[in-house]
Amino acid sequence: MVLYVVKRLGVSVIVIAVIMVMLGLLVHLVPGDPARIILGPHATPQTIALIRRDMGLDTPVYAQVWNFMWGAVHGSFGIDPFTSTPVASELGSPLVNTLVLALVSFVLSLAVGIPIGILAAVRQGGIADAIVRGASILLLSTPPYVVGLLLLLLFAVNHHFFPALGIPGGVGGYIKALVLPAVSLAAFWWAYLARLVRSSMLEALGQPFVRTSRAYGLHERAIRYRVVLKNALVPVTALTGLMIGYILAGTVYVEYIFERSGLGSLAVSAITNRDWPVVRAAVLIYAAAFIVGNLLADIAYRFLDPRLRLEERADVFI
Amino acid sequence: MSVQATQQVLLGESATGSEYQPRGVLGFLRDVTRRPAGAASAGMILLLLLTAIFAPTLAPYGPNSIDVLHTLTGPSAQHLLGTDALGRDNLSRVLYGSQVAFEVALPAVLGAFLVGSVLGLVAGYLGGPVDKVLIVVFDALISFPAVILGLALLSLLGGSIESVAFVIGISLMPYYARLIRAQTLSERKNQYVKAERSLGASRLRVLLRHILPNVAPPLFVIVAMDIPSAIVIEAGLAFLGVGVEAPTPDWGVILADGFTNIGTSPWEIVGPIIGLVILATSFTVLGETMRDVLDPQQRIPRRIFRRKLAFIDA
Repeated sequence: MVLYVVKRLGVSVIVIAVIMVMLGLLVHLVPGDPARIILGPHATPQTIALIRRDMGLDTPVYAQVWNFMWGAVHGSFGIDPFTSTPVASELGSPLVNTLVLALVSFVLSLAVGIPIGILAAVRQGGIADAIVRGASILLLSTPPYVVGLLLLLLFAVNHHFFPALGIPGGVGGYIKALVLPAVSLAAFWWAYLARLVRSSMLEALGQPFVRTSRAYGLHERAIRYRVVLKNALVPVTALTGLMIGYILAGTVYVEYIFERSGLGSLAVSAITNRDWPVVRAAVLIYAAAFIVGNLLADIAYRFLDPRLRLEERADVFI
Repeated sequence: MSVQATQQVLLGESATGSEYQPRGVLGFLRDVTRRPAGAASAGMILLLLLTAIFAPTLAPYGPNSIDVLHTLTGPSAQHLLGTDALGRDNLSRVLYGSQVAFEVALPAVLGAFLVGSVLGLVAGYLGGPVDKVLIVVFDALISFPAVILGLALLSLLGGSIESVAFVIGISLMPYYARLIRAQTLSERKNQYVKAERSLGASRLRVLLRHILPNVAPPLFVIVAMDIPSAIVIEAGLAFLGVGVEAPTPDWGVILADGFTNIGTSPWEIVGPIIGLVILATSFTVLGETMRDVLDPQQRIPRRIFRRKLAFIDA
């Protein structure tokens, strides 16, 4: 287990390093003058000179990549050429907003999706099961921005149940403004988790240990919720890593739709302004969050499933 | 399902092989369409493709013909889905938009499939340092959810149809590569490969004649499920204003435009939403039917297909 964690950690560090190299090199991979590629055809000579100086575009490429990596490791992402402030200080509070939204959506996904899956499994073949299965196919095929737009239309534009745009002041306002964005992101995972929990619970119900528990005279309810559910939740753990990454990616749309301050809306407006240092920093944070989420989920998965733990010599590259 | 665990499941269980032996691609498709769900979803997809091909004939107006006297109207006999802020017919724009959707998605998925398969076969069959380097590159690319990769690359490349297709292709490619690599690794161990090699067959022959046909069938399912993914990503990027640009009649562009007018007239976003949901549902059902045909007991690669349901990676 320790060996696995160490190897897995090592691979994650290598992957993050490769990502940093890619992001550092990217402007040089597109043919043409890097400053022109970043700023587009309508840039003024002043801003071009500024971005050349701030990003060190005249220094050797390996030095630029190294400086970017060295800075990023130390929490510095250079200077924003448009506002002349450090990029890191611009990212701070939007990042907190994004993380809060992602975390709330994550908890909401699990808190609703898992019980729905249990319900469908327990009532297998019944009306509840049929409704859950039908609705989940539809929800799985609905992209998060469509859910967001529909919720905005229904609850914020037509009936002013929730604030349509931005984040109002006060704790109550902050929580109220989280509802629609979080539901937009969680809806997909309700469907996904419901299906996953349903199928893995049905699978677990057919296992020999259930028969054994019944033979021991364990109450059916105890079998269902203590024995079966515990086994059925193991695949959910493996999924959580991907969930974190994809929920974070989904926040880009949701922040844009509900005009929330956040990493995603910052990145989108930075692209419109052709502010590459900000875009690059935001992209790196998303990728790093995805990698960390996956790392934690993989370790948790191994920890929960003792059969996997035995495979000490498992090749972490696979 | 995490990538690591996915590959383990695949490696551990694909060696047992599935019992289903399709008689060629056509035989497989016949078995899929024999099921009601398969026939219905395949029919729906065919209908959508025909809509895209014949959009110019079906659309009552041009995609960009402006009518300043009738802006932001609701549904009427002349304009079934109303008009937008410039008086353009929403229905016509949505019909033309299906063309753009397929124009981006088909090359993106096909390119990802071809490049990913080649790299995966190479990594799996050669092994050693080549394999390690390629795997780190795949992992690095997988760490960018598609929309994030889109933000990074399109901010430098600009939002033409070609560059959007390229970016989506890049983001899908590593999944094919990893899958083919894992399959190749397990196939390589089989006796028949050793037998073939000792009979004097070249590595390339073994790879193309024996390993490729064996690892291919599950990929049909993933291709089927990636096409709607690509369309959803494409529309999402355009919606954010970083993908295909206005005035192209693209579903994402229409959504973005409708979003700015959502307070006055909600009719503009209806068309693209219906289009996206019907398209994605059809492909999801088709993909699941294909999976059921390939693996009736749902014993083997069920988990690799789970990722493919993740439209949220849009």
